[in-house]
Parts: sequence; structure tokens; C-alpha cells
Amino acid sequence: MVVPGDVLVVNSAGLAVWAGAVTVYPEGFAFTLRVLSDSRRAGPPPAPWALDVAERVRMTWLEVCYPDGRVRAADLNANTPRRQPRGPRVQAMDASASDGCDISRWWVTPLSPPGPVELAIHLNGQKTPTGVGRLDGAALLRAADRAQIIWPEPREDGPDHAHEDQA
Amino acid sequence: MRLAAAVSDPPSVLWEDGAVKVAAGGEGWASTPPAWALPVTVAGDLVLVRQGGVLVSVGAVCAYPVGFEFYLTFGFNPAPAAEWRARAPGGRVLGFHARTPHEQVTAARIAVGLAGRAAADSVACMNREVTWGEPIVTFAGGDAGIPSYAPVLRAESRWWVSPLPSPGLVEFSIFLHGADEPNGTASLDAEGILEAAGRSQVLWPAPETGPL
Repeated sequence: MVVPGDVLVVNSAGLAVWAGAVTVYPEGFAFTLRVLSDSRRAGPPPAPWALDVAERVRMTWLEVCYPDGRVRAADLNANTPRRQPRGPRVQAMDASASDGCDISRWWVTPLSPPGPVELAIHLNGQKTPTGVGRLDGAALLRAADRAQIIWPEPREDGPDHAHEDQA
Repeated sequence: MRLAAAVSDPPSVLWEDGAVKVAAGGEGWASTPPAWALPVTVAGDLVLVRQGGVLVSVGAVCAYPVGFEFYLTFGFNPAPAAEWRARAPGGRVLGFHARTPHEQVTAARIAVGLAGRAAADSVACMNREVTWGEPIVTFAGGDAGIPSYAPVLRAESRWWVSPLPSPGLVEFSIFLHGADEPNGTASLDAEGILEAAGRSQVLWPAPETGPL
């Protein structure tokens, strides 16, 4: 089920980060991030996504913060803290870039308790977030109630994730 | 006029942002989603196919001043007895590419009928150059297919449609495995897309490269 509440995570001169296309499933939700930059603005364009934790000092990465205090940081291949059995787990589904536009789609599981779900983006390795957007956690839960399970799917926990998030 | 609100006071020349062009007079068309505007999401939540162990749906629809993007999701029931298996020969469960002779007869395609305009077809747009202003539906990202060895038989892709529809119904039709007739069709009122496009925020002018 789609939740139409788009959020503007960053809005500064010649630079914007948009989160939207939020789609809710019984076990989590997906959202899209669009990092847009005007080629005429001063300075280099935003750095691409970090591939792993070591690259977060200079590349772009993301944090998802739940209203109960759970926080997970993510890049294209890793979550930190590495073990966090109650989640949230944040997984890049797709990422691509062209001139002035970086598009990524993320999967977050499990669903949040009611309250604001914060999406904090760290552009260019910034330690403090460049911007924070807030999704309506209650709206996500309402949408999840309307989602239907048509058939069971096998778990996607492959070897890459077997060592993570185990109790 | 809704477009005029989103693309205010367009210049007297055509602007170009890569392949993106916005015409004077407020009529917009682009071959890819623009990088100079924020989309506005509306819920599609349309089910095109739900039978034989196949689920095809249109989820989020993101409207821009010059078109809209939609999310297309496929799911195939992994059960050995699922009916779709008998109709999906070859090495892929789903694929939009139509390059090789085998792909050309097995490719999936999505068609979008824009109210008041001709329908746009994904395979047709893939195999030839499109001309300015013609209705298009082009791949914009995500999963281009599902190989038979995938652990989960699910794919989500994004598709770009331009120009915006006229008021009326926007019809989505999906053709699986080279089918001549659609396996499923569903419609959405264009009003929601047009209203969202009117709220799309233009961030900065598209880079100008001179008159065409």
C-alpha cells in the first residue's frame, strides 16, 4: 500500500533530497531517495553512496531512527550497529545516478511503532545529518493493516546476512 | 491551467536538460524524469494481474510537471505447482529486454493509455528513437527482470511516462511472456496525477543549452 506523505529531507541552494514513493508491506516498508543538485551551484556534487562503513567518512550514508529509540545507520552494503536483533534493518534495493540526480530505493524492516520515523542523510561523510525527514509511523501502520499476504515467500537471509541481527 | 502553475512563465525558447525538454506555453514533455523538480506521490495501488500464481500491481505514482513515474511490481508464487511455470519457458521468469530473437517472443511489456492521447508501449519505445512530444513509457530503474535462479521471484521497476495525460482515465496494461493480448488491465483517474503534478515544485530552471 502506498503512503503519499513525501518529505523534503534537504532543501538548500541548488541541492535537495526528497524521500517518497513510500510503499508499505506487512513486514516493512520501501521508500525512494532522490538527491538532486543543480550543476550551476558552487562546489562539487554530493558524493555517491558509501559502499561500506569505512567509506562513510567521505561518502553519503543514511540513518533510520524509530520513535522508540532504535537507530540503524546504513550504506549500500552494511548496517551499524552490526547486530541489532530488533532492527530496523535497512537494505538498499536499487541505486543509480546520472547528472544532477542520484536515485536509491531502500527497504526497512520491521515496521516502526507509531510516531515519527526519521530519515537522516549524511551527505559527503558529514557526521551530523545534512538533513532529516520524518515519515508518519502511524500512517505506515495503518497502510500495513490494509496490505494482503497473497502467498508466503522464502526468507531472503542469505550468507551475507546470516551473521547479522541474530539474537 | 495546472501545468502553468508548475512550470511558471516558461521561456520563449526550448530548454534542454540532457534529453529533457520543456516547451514554451506550458506543454511539457521529457524523455526521462527531470532532475530539476520534486515529484509528488499519489497512491496507485492497482492490481493488474492476480491469478495463476502471478501478481502484478502498480504502486506509487510520482507526478512531475512534464510527466509521471510509476512503480510496477511483479510477484510469482514459488510453489512448484504454480500455473505460471507452464507459460514461462526459457531462462527467465520475467524480462523486459527484447534484444535477441528469444527475448523478442518472451518479453514482457507494459502499455499505458493516456486519456485523450495514443497509448505508449514499453517495447516500442525501446526499439526506436522517440520523437519529441510523442507519448512514451520508458524504463526508469529498478529490476529489469527476474532470472529463474532468483531466490525470491519478485521485481519492482520504475517507468517514466510523458507527457501528462489529459483528464480521463489512464489505463495500464501488462503483457507477460510475449502475449498478444494483455494479461491484465487497470485504470486510474488522471485527475489525481494532474493535481499532484500541479503541486510538483520546480527547484531550479533546467540547464539551458540554447534554442533547438
